[in-house]
Amino acid sequence: MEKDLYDLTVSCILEHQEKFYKLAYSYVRNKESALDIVQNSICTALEKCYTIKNPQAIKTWLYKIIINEALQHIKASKNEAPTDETLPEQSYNEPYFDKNMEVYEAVQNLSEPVRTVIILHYYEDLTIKQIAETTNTNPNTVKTRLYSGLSKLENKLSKEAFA
Amino acid sequence: MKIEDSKKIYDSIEIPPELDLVVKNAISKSSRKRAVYIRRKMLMRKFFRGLTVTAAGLVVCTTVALNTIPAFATEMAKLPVIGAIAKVLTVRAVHGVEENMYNVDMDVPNVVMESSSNVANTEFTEKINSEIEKTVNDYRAQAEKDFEEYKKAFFETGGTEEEWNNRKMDIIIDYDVKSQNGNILSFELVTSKGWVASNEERHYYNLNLDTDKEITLKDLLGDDYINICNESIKKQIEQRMAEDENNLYFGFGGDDTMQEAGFKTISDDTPFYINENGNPVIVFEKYEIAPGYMGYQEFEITK
Repeated sequence: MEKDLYDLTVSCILEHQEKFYKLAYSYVRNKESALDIVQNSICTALEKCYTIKNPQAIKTWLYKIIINEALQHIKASKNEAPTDETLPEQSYNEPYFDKNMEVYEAVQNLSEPVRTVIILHYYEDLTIKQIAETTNTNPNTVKTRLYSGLSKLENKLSKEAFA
Repeated sequence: MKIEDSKKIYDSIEIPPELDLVVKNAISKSSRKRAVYIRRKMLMRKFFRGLTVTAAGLVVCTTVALNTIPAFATEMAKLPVIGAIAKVLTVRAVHGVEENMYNVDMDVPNVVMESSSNVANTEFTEKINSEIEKTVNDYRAQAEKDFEEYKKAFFETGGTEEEWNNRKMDIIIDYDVKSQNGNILSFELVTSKGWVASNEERHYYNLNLDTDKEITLKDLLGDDYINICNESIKKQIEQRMAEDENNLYFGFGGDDTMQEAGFKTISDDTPFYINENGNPVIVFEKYEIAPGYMGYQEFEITK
């Protein structure tokens, strides 16, 4: 028997809940806010699950909801400066951690919509086609943003290296 | 530069232990029943849209009729008859897309007194009804203002028409009759808006249709109502925290950091409804006394 859209959405949520949390966290950088975003997104997703046209794309559809919700959250609290509160400290012992942190920070500081494309591609391993689905754009726009993001990162990071 | 390497930082984002519970709560809150209900509403919306194309104005006609002919309203809105004295029923139903920007899903209730042969309103119910209308209209106006601002900001920061993709804001007005017992009528008006997730407001009406007064906590619990509520709520908070370590309330369980935000006392303005046992149920909004993932918090105060 064919699985109902509601069941498919629930199992997709349960399977990827940690990914959704990380994605939300990367936008708001605060545990409570990220949990709120995940919660609201799940409610929205399940309420609208019967509108899904392509059951293959439930995961990217959920990403889309998380991102929209996160951006809405940022807009609502734009006066509060985000701070990472729970990045594990022990990682500082790893070699190259500082360099990685620098790149991570630079990614976080990119402006929208470029940042979303970079996060989805490099951190969430989505394909160009999936990012296009997630962000309601066509693959060429995604590519343009990806390159523009990469060149911005290169500029910024090499400038800092020479500073 | 290796952007792939910085993925390690992303991957090291710590997953809080509450996540599981938050996810499960959110899933159980959005039951299949609710999804099916929303689906049905949407199909009805589509159906109405179809009607407007073939018989333009029909929807408008029914709306006007509902507003002007009470007998028609009683017939049209097959709503739960909640007693012989009064009904809460939909006087204005709007379902559809407006200005290509808003998914409107409004069931605006009014209290209608009912005598054996006719439907009549008293000064008191008229007053309540106009309060409801004002709340609904103000909410709608604010929602439209917010959405216009959001849309403007979206395009100003480089968003394209393609990405906007005709996104629409949902405006939902609904109500729920909590209880009716003789002359006592208690119901909830819910206003919610959003373009992905919703932001929700709940308003409560507790009416005594015999004395034509709004019922207060003092009416229900006596002069000592503040202490009775506070003690009961504090006790229930502690119970809930003891039952599940994931239940958190600001300022309880030795958490001094959020002391200020925590529950202290109810006031005359604290919202409540009356449940079927005739007991008041105190309602706290999301974030009001607990972290957002705890959602709305309700406390039944037994007399």
